[in-house]
Amino acid sequence: MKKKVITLSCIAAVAIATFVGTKTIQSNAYESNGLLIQNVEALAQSDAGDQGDQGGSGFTHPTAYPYDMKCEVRVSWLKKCGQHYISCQGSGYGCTQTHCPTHNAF
Amino acid sequence: MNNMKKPHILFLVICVIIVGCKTGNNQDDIEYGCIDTLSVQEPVDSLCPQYVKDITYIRLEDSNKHIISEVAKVEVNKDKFFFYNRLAHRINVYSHSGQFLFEINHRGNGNKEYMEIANYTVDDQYIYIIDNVKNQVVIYSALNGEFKEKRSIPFIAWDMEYLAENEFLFTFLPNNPEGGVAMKQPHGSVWKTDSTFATIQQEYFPYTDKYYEMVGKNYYFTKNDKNVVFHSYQKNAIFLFKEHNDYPQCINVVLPKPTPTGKYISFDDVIKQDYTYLSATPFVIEKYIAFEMGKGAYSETYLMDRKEKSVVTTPEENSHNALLSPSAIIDNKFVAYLSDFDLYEELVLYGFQKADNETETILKEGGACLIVYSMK
Repeated sequence: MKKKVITLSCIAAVAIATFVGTKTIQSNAYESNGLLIQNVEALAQSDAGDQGDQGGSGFTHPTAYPYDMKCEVRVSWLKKCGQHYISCQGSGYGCTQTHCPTHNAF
Repeated sequence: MNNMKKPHILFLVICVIIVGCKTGNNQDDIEYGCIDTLSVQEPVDSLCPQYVKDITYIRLEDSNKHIISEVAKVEVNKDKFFFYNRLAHRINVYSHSGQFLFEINHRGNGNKEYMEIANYTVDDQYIYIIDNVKNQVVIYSALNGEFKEKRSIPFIAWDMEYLAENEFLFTFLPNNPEGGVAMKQPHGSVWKTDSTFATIQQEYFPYTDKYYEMVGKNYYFTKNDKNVVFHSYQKNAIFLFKEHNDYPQCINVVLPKPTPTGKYISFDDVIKQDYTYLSATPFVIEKYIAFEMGKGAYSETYLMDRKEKSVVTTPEENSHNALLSPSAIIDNKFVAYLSDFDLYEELVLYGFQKADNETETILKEGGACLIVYSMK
């Protein structure tokens, strides 16, 4: 009898762990889906100019990631600019676009 | 008593299997075999031109009409060059001889479109575009640019690279403490998948929740004939991945005043304190490594002779055979991308090989060319 009880407890423990794990994954998926819709709308709204600039410096994307990017404009045959700026991309929790402080092209 | 023990043992075995499955792919404790050391000792000799055998230009026809400025990553396959413009979310495709073929310019919310090009890779048949907004890889034909299909990805990636048939590498590392991504990420900063992209086969270089790169990069992977090369600021090393091989080789990196690893340091502080760092993933060929080292507000190109273990750079006063930072490798040669006519004029003024008239005209009209370096 005891053996059965313990075996059943083990099976129940594994089943609960599996259920909780699955729910967590589903919850993440639903969350991502909601953010996706917001992101698609935000990025679509912010398209501007021939270069597809994401709204220029100061534009805020509510659901993008603030990717910290190096400028890398070549300033001579030897040197590249090493300043950095924020490029909004992907899906995240908010981002404000900035430009390279030296090269306004970004 | 024996009857009592068995279920406990069974339970323990199940737990061990579950834990083993969760962590078994991490390479945390594996020592990577280092095959080389890239060591920079200042002052660096300016002997780089001596290692260059000759220079040839590839004129990118009509590149003055198909703007390919702000190129973030150049890819090469058996017969084409691919130029990715990060700002325009566009990829322009040229033949190896410089003829314009087509462009991938399909930003939008439609069935055959992408919301962004976070990065991309190519093989001989397809172009694979990471769209982190919609958590998918969008695939177009590398032959003519036609849409093929979309595949969902269960992660966000900053870069990807084709390694071999059914083997792709992806990378992600947070680079801004003020940002967060809306998806649970793999434990490693690099992971390998099959061509469905849904199954992670192997993870490399685990990082903690508190880890942030000091700055992001345009590309984390470069490629030569045999390897995919990876670099991040996580380790003072670069890693060479080979096809059908789960364990990358390592090249140690020793710089004069290295940026501290193991704790977060802002990029502004790195600039202010004149720390040195590899500012881009190096390009590795059989005899040489071309790399950019950042110091202060600028970065410069250097060349390492892998046999002599020497590191050299280009002199400031003479641009003869100056090695511009490479963007790709083709046939064991470095390829640099040039789209600035003023810079071209300055180069020629100080001794760099002149291009033909047609190439000069293209550059003058806002187009671009490639400079191919044959090395000694």
